[in-house]
Amino acid sequence: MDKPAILGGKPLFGYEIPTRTCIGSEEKNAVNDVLDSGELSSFLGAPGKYFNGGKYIKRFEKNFSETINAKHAISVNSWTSGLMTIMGAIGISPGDEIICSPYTMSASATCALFYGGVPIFADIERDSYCLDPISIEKLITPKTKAIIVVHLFGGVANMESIMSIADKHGLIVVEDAAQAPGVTYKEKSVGLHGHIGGFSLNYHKHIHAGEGGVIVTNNDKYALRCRMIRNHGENYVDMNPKLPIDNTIGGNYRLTEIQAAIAIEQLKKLTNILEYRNILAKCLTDGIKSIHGLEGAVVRNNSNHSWYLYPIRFNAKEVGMSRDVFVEAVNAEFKDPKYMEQVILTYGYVRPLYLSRVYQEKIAIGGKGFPFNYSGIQKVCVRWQKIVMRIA
Amino acid sequence: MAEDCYEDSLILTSIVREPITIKIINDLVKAMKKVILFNNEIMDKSGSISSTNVSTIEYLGKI
Repeated sequence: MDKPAILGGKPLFGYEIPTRTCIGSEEKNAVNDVLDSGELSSFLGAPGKYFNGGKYIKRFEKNFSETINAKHAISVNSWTSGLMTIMGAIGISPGDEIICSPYTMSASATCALFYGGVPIFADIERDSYCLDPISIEKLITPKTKAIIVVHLFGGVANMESIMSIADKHGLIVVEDAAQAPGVTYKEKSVGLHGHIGGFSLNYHKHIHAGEGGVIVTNNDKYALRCRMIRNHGENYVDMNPKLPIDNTIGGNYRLTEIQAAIAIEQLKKLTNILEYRNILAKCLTDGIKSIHGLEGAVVRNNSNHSWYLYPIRFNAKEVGMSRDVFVEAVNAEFKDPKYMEQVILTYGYVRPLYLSRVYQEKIAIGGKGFPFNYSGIQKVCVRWQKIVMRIA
Repeated sequence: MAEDCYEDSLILTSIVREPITIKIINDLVKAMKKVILFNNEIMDKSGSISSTNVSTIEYLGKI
């Protein structure tokens, strides 16, 4: 066998890794229909017929809610704005503590800061990379208001244990299922095991509208508050004096008709996309089984996986080299990528969020330490390996 | 666990997606096996290997 490419040998494979092909004639025709109509957005930021958007928005939300059997689906212009909307809708207030995963996209925690809530970081499970219920329970205080669960890489978090803890302590559970569309646990869609949740429609996801997101819930009150916050809710409560005002100051988090038209077509393709990815993931799992020092992904019992990313557990001692060198060496066996999505392996995912400047320096809203100083929290977390987890 | 994943133990691949083929997945497995066969030689020279920094966050770019 020729020596490895990283040592100057010839790469094993010289072909180009295919890039995604996610937009077809269906989406193009749908966009043209919207353009022909001339009505690119039908939202009006005041109560009335157009408060909840136009026909494509309403059709997408109806189709999405029917697909996952949710009572409400509320589209938004990104999943980040979706998470912020949810924080407002569930009543996060200054000083509230929200237990989060440190191993996720930053918005899964920063969403709380916009309402004065403070993210408190629990640790993750070894096999699922999602929140560890044991770690969660240790962090609960009288100030804890909610738990944000992330179904990372498309695998399901330990919802049974997390919901049990939440019920015991009267906490609201938010499911960040950005990477897990079409995923179910015990035959119920993720996003609906907790009190409210949702999915991303960002370009990198399974189905997308360029940017976008969709909130799902079976709770009527939360759904109405989300719709208000999405679309200048201050005007809505002004015309509805019986509604509580708190947290209803809204933004413009509205999806456009063009995006909704694309999302309608994308949603039709989700089942096939998941089936395809499942075949590839099974093939990879089978292949990895024969490699000492690597462990393939674990799929929780009674659930499926969306395979947004496929996680491989690496044991440097057993493999006989460091992870980063291994990744470099494997990638070198393939043709140099022109685009990042052609890269075969990556390492690390994201740096644990509590190591970022916002949490280390406790500066988020304004320059005087709000909301960290408001809650009296000294440190939201320090490095896990240094043992101390939380100093309140 | 999060720090262990970040610093040492987690590798990710996004090639379990359309229109990647089973052949490419099998080729990935072959490449991993080949690299491990040469682990000693690679580690002996790892100091001279230039990094392309394929951390996942760089890969994802815009999340």
